[in-house]
Amino acid sequence: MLKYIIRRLLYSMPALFISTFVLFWAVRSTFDPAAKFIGSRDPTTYARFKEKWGLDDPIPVQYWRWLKNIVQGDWGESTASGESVWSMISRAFGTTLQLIFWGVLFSAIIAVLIGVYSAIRQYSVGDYVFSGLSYLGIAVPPFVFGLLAIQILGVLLGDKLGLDGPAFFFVGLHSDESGVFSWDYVRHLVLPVLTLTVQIVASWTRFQRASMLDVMSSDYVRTARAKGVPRRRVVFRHAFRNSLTPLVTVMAVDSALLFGGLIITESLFSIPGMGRLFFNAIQTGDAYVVMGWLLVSGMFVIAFNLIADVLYAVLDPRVRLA
Amino acid sequence: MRGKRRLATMMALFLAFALIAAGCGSDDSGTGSDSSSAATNGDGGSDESTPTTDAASDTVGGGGTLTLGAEQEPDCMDWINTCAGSSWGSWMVNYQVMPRAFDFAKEGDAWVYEPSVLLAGEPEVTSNPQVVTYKLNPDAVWDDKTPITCKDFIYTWEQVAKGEDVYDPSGYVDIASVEATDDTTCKVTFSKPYAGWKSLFGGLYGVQPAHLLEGKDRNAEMKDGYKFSGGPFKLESWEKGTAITLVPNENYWGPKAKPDKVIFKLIPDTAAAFQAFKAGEVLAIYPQPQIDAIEQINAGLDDVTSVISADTGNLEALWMNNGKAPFDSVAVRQAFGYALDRDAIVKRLFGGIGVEAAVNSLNPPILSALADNAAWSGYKLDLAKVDELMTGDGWAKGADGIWAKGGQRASIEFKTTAGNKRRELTQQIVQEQAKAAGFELTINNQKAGDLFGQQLPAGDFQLALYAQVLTNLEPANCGLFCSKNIPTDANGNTGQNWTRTNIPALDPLLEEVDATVDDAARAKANKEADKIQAENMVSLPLDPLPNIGLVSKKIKGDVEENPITSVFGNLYQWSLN
Repeated sequence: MLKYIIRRLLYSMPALFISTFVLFWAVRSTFDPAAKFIGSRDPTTYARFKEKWGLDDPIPVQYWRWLKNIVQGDWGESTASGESVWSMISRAFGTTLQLIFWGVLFSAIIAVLIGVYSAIRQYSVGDYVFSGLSYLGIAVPPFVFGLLAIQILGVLLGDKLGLDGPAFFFVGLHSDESGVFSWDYVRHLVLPVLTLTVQIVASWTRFQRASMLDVMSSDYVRTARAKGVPRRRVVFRHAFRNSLTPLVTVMAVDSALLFGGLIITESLFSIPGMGRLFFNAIQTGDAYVVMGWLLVSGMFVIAFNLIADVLYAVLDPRVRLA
Repeated sequence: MRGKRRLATMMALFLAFALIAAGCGSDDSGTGSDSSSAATNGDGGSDESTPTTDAASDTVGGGGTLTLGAEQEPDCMDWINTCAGSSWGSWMVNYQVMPRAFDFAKEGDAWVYEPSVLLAGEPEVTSNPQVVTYKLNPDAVWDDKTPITCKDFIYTWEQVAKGEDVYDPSGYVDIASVEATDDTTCKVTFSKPYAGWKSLFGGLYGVQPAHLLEGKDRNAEMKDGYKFSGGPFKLESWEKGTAITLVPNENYWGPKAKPDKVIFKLIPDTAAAFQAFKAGEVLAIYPQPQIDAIEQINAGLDDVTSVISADTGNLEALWMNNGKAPFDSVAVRQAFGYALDRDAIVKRLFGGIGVEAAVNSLNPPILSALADNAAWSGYKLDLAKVDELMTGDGWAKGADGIWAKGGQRASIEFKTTAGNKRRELTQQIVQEQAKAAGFELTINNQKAGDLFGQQLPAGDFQLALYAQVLTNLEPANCGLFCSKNIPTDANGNTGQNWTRTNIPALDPLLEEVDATVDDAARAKANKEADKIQAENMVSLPLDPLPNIGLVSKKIKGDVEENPITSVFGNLYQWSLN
């Protein structure tokens, strides 16, 4: 197992190296971070800025400079703000982590419940309703659902309840001076988490339903039923646990992708997470920030893919890693 | 038993992770016509905006917490550094906390500099050499009660003129010396005449506190936010990407701030900002004049004071490459001017918010006192005039209705920044009108970086639509139209005369505008320059990009639009009570 993990990590290094170079080349050849100084009253500002950041050097030279620094633990500075990239990534990551944690937690609970219900009540009215809602959830873009949620649960509900503001906030994750786990935090969290949750739940519900149906039609479940084991016990003791294996791996892989940020959700709800950091950095050609973002999100994708494989082996004794 | 222990362990792990996740984001430590301004009510009524009152209130705070929306945040708060330069940074923080020598005030129909509360009166100005003597208000103090003195002026000058990585040292590098005659008298001697001296020791930089910054790394001290203040507010916190919070400066010697606290919440998305404003999550927004914002306003906003002003520092124009065919011909440029109904274009774009007249000067509306505001007024839709000018220049209309000369059709490439819906709509209207007059416009939009970074400086355009924005009351037209500023190897291709304007009679006038201290002589030269530019149709001014301020009626106090300091310029007077 350990050898497998080390080998997988070593295999990932070239992919990370190539992806950082390709992204660096793409950002540097497409965006000019000094462009904001072109209309400056002082014509020398543009040239001074380019010299300071070495923007006239060939792209491979600039990349090599970044690579040398990152190996030494220096993530560099933002060309826009001069702030340490590490501190920008840390701050944005903490914010995105909150969304992912609550989003994945609620998605997992809801998806499992609906998936199991749909499987054991296959072709029932409830199954058709949940299937329809799942397809709707997958089809509706997050920004549409987010805007609808803001209008209905934020604005209209606030009016209906006669509140002096929205029922659920939709700017940031907290108001001034609100503490962790405060009611204010919850009121800020509901709409972005709901927007994030809908599409994930829709997709995971289908996985769980299919997995549960597969297990329910397996020989050992049929045998248990034939031996007179009560249906409830068969479902929850024998079928349910085994049906979770495929979903757990899907959850690990999907969660890893979320660490790169949720550009639409974060933009819609003015949340300064990884997605918005990436979007802003791309717009301003802030290559070092983009590289920092890629490293962090890339490492999470690699790590979670690995975790998914390992978990699969742990949960299913028939799977052996080599 | 084992199951219960496992459950307890799982719950403990869950709670620990939840606490870490929630705590990670709670980082509180970080410390943009008719030259008229009208305020309209959400119910369709209209009021004249109330002039700013400088009557000082005696008490600090008591006005509640104001939560306002902001489209952007600054990259940093070291205003002198290249990392600054953000308009939103100036509106939210700089103009609220930094002392400055001059304010921007309206006098009649014109915006003028007015000595701020930092000064004891209008400075004395002498010529040959130019010497400006500032008399400081003896009551002026920093928030720690340290008097604001000439030492602060000296420090500010040295930092801007001699510092590294400075955003724009213009004007400060023309200062030979800054001397303290006494604690409250400051003598500034210029090495050469500098007409825009009133923009110094204020504007984007303010006056910086020598006693707190001297001998220290200014950038390190200020870039992430700072606690000192010489204005009505102090910066309480800057939670990057989320919010900027201001509290009153209790030791401010001028009019005291009424709000107990002001929170600017960052809402980059316009649709989300309008939703937040309509729902009452933020009490004021200052959206860019884009189509969606105008549609939202026209859809109706209840209990809102709308401050919409065409009296801005913005000038959006059709910039013509005077060095490239067909616009290298004065007659063609003039004909193009008669081909368009500019008022109709402006009405289509901004008529919904009451802005219906085109700008008739290549100076933004806030410079109306220095400009010939009717210089382009003769250029109105006149197809007979187009025919006369074009045929007089040897052009003839082909079978397709497009002018042609020597086998060359009057086909013009029209560029602007891709993705800007308002500009794309403008292009479509201009294209349609031009076609009716015999000009074929081909739209070829570009990324902003490519357009402004490469194509315009290199002269790789025929017609471009973009805006010039002023952040003070100083004309900047020599930079844009003096022949010495055409990008060449001689000036390191840093010149900004991208239209390749080269009119010998124009250069000395625009240079005089930059070097003449006498306001009347300066205005005369600038008006004459406007006239010559219009006669030669160097480019075609279009609209003033109106400023839009939307403020909830829950906010009491004067709500007005200042083209430099924004709708938040008199924030200190706002209150919920």
